[in-house]
Amino acid sequence: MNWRLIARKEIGDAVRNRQLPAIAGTFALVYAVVAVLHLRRVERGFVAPIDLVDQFALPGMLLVPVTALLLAAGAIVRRRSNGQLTLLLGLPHDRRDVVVGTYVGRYAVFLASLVTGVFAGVAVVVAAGHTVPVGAVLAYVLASAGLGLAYLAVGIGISATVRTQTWASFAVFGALLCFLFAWRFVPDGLTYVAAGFEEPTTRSWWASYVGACSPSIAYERLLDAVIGSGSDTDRSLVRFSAAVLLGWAVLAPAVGYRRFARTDL
Amino acid sequence: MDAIALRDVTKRFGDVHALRGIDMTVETGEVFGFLGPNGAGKSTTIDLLLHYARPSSGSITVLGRDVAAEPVAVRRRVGVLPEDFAPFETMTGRQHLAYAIEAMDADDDPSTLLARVGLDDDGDRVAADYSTGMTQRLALAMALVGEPDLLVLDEPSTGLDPHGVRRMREIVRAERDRGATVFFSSHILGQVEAVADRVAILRSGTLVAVDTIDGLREAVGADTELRVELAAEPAAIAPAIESVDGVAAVTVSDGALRIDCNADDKLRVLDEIRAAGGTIRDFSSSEASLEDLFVTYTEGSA
Repeated sequence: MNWRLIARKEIGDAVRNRQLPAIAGTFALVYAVVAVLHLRRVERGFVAPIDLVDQFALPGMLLVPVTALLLAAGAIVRRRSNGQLTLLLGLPHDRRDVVVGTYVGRYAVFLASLVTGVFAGVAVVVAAGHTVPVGAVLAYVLASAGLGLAYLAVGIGISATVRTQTWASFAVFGALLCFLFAWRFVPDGLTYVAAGFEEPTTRSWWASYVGACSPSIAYERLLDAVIGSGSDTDRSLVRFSAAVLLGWAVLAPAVGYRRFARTDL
Repeated sequence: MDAIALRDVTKRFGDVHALRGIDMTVETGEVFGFLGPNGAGKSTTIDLLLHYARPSSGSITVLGRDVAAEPVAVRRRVGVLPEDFAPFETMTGRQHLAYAIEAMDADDDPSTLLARVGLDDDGDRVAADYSTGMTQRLALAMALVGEPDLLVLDEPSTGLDPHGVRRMREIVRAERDRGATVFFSSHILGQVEAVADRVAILRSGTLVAVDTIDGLREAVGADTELRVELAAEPAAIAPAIESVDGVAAVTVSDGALRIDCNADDKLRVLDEIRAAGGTIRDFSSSEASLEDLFVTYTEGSA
């Protein structure tokens, strides 16, 4: 159970090297700005105050994955290549403690930043005297926390697998591009193939599920449900999307750990 | 129970055979020096002992436990001073020790440990700003946490000044007196000679010798050089001395006899010189240094 010690050390590191205040500050700034822009549109009558979460969607889709990946990408590989891991593993720690502790510690840093950011955004709205859709905001935080967990997990998995920071950087960048953009073409591509390389007449039922295998797209499905834009939001697709985020959260570090545990330091 | 036991341990990196079948036992309570030139496989062996790396074949037990099966249980009772490590970047020396104390589930006082390694005044500085020697001292202090049964020190004197080297030596002796086993590697012979009860010499991934220092001297053979000045021409006496038991070689240089012989036979050789009619004006003897032994083992045909 020594992973707790490593997790605490990770959090302590983030406080001492001012990473936590810097990231939390960035989140607070971004969400506050989004909230201010939201208020201006409310004043002009373009949107209702209750649509706050619609505005939060964009930072959720971009800031959350990027932050989570950056937090995780170097987490293990950097300590491994600079020798800190050698010192750490001289103590009664398992390789599993290293992966789990780093994962939990960095996630705590991410979560604190996310909550600080959303709180700052909400505070701006409240200060302007508008109502906040509490339920929707909480659901948004939950979904974003899930998205951050999935991306952080992918970053940890990569960081545990590769041997140099350069590879880790390339890999997380590739993962981001793949999940955020490239994956959007996969469902249609597969449908095309399934239809015998012809333009399909109808969209197969599974295409949405294939799409939701990307954490980013799964997150969008979850936000759809939170915002309630598509009233016909498929409940099972929402559940599937939540499961996808949790699946990444478990599988990616597990794969990384297996590789990490079997190689020489 | 042996503190460390390696059974036919090999390690390959691709085509490179770093270790070619090591069988070695370190007994409980001894100071064991692990000696060899750079690249002989010392660090690889230590990496395997600490489960930083896995052997290609063979088994390793430390304190009676299989390191591959129970690495954490082993590390709980082993103090490690690794090579090529870096301190945790944001933590002070004192915080490092506090961390190690918590990880080892011990109740040491960080201040006592800092004082023991001579870092009393630097404990509250960030360890990333330490010099190499100070970092080394800090890691030694971390290794001492929790009175481990075994200390594994990889090139412990790296970066230490003579003062630090002496302190390291004192700590090693004190730990042995406490009952701990100490296993340390070095390519600097003087340090091994000064503290080790037994040594192993590694060359190109093979153990070429495991013995006490004295035992090694005997194994190499003639270990004393006797230089004797005679009143008369030494060449006349030389043939008579060559046949004396325990004498390996006799040469004449600078008008004196140079005799390679066993340390125990020195006085008898002097007696024989006089018996052969030589008048001894002066004599001196020098023991073969471990340096010579080391060279013999790692480069010669031994």
